[in-house]
Amino acid sequence: MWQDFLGGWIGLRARWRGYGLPVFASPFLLSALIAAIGGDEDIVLGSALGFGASLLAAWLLRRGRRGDTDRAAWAMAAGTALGGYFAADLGMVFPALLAGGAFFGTRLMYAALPEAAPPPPPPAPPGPIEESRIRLARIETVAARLADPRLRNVAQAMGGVLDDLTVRPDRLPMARRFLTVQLDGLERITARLEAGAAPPVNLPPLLDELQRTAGDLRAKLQREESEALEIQVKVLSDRLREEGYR
Amino acid sequence: MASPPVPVPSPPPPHTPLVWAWGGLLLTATVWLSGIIAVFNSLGALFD
Repeated sequence: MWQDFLGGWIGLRARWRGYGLPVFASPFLLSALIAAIGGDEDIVLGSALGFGASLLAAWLLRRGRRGDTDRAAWAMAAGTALGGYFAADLGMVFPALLAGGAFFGTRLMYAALPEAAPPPPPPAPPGPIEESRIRLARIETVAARLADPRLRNVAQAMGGVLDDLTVRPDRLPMARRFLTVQLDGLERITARLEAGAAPPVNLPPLLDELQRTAGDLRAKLQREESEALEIQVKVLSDRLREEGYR
Repeated sequence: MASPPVPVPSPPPPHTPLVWAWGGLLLTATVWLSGIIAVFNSLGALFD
């Protein structure tokens, strides 16, 4: 019974959390007003800092991230110390003691209230290869629906290029033009065909050309890899010879 | 693989409102008190 009542109370306090702190600091508003009329800048400054810190603490508590109760307690302590020093003119020691009290007071006031976990970071946007794969998957779906073997072959050939690029993403700049121009073109063609357009006479040769270009690009990527390996082998052989191992 | 069981938060101790009351008392004796002293200080400065 008591636990249910306490649970409800905690829920209510969690909803209104933080709003009470500026009430505790509200006398600073009056002191700032009176000091402004009297022309005492120190009191105005101290009062503004004291009340401003309570607003900051309330904002932190309303934000409700993990550790915000501690941050709010520090804000209240700083505000009380500055208010005590500048506005109340209490010297150095007494404001420090008051600040400690304000810190623990805030901690106790908001004890047992749930602190929300920080929001998870947004998922990373897909890279160019992943994005191309998503687009290619759409094209393959349409090709399967239209039962067009040429379109399917082109999509498979382009998928092969993407497979190569996944293994060696540093080759991406070489294939960027391929990805933008050819994939884009194929996507447009697929969209038209899906919308019911009759394929023109020169479409099959174009699709064959696209398939061949994808194959050429894969061959080029493989050739470059082979050349790089050949250079590496040569460099290592020369090194071994220089070191006297061969 | 089964996901690990989510830990159930333990209920707050029954004396939690007393802790809150102590916190409120401390804030009154510190923040509110410095504010009140600042009010009297500003009144003193006004009639000085």
